[in-house]
Amino acid sequence: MLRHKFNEALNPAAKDIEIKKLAPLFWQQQHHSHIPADHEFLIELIETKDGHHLYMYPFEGRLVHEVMSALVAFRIAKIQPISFSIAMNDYGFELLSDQPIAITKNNLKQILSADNLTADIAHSINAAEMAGRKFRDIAVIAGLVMKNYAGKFKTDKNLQSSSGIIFRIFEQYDPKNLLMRQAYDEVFYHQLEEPRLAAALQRIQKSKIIIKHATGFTPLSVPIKVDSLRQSLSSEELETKIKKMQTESQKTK
Amino acid sequence: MGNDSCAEIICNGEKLVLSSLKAAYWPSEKTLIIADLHLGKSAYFRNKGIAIPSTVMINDLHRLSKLIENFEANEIIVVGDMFHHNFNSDVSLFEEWRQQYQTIKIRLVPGNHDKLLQIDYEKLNISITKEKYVCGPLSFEHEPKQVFSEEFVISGHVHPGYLMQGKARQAMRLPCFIQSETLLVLPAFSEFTGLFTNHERSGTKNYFVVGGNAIFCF
Repeated sequence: MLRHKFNEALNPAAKDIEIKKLAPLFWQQQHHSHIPADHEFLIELIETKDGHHLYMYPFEGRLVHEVMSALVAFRIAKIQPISFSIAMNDYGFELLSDQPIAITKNNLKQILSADNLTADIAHSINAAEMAGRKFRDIAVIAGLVMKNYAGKFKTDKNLQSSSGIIFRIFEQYDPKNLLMRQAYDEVFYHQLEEPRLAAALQRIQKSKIIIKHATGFTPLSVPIKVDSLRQSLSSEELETKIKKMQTESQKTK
Repeated sequence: MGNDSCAEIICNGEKLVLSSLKAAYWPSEKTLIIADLHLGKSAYFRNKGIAIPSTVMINDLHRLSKLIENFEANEIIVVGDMFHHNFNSDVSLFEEWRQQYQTIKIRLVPGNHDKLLQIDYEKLNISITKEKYVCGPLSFEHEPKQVFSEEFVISGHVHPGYLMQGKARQAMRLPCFIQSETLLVLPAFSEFTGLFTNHERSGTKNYFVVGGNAIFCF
């Protein structure tokens, strides 16, 4: 539907009042980057003082993007050691890194390929620590973390902990814990919709891929950029990451 | 020292070695200083119906053994919260561990969690100090407080963590030592603890961040 409307937006004779109202934005998008038509797939590479941004616009809905972004991040991270901060919304997703992202027309086919999908998804779920967030709900329902409602007198102060700590402990010391397995299963089966993801990747493979370099944020990228609910994925060594942040903090001092 | 790294600092004229195994070592007294062991926390949680495995604590004890052997320490000072609550099966495991190190003196500066009975401490061969224990130029107290200028206090209690933020919205939280002019706050020794990162940050403090097997100064 969205893809269809975008197609229409390119047509000056569009009748919808919404499209007419949004014309200036569409014009700006077209001017700075590109408006993807039905058979096209738009990738924007933007460099700002924050770092290097990679935007992809598959228009597949948030749930699919959540997995697809982790998958793309994981496949890029296999090529070079790199850390990403990932954000997504209903029409696209962003990978943000402090280093240039090595993406070219040649390796894109592999990064967006539908081969080896199940294994790569499983790896990217682990790498992006998606199960940890799912575990939060499970831990509360299972009574692993105490939730006190307002006004309730606290009696179990010694039992305070967070689902994050318990998840970390389970991962390290009790990897077969059923509640933790449940978190992984929930991410995999409820959220993943693997057939939809495979279909989306196949559609992307068939479309014409357009890579645009922009100097500032485009109308399509801004709403994703401001999304604060992010996940992260990294293939860098912990110590290299700390050293980097150490030098950065010394610079600002 | 194998692959674990250390940082040396001077506190009130005394040299202290900070280890990435989340302990400080005082060479002139051959003493290890640790904080917030929370022994018995996993069994306490199990007791309340939350299944946390004991291997968490066993791993902490392995780390402690490694420290004792690496530094050839004669004494351990625990600045509070050595035990999470009451005597339980985890503490019995600790008792077994203690058998191997009978010659090492353990001094506990009591913290808010230490609720074992006097008789238990005696059985475990742990001597309890007053709320504040002074040993030469260094003092030990569980909760970090503002202190008088002459003293240098070593504390625990807050489980300090350091929030690092890098370019491209990257962030990491890791345990750390905090050193100021009169105070050294140790990270929690136990792995089954959270991190408190909301402490006041001012320019006069040094942060020693523990990341993996290394220690970094910020």
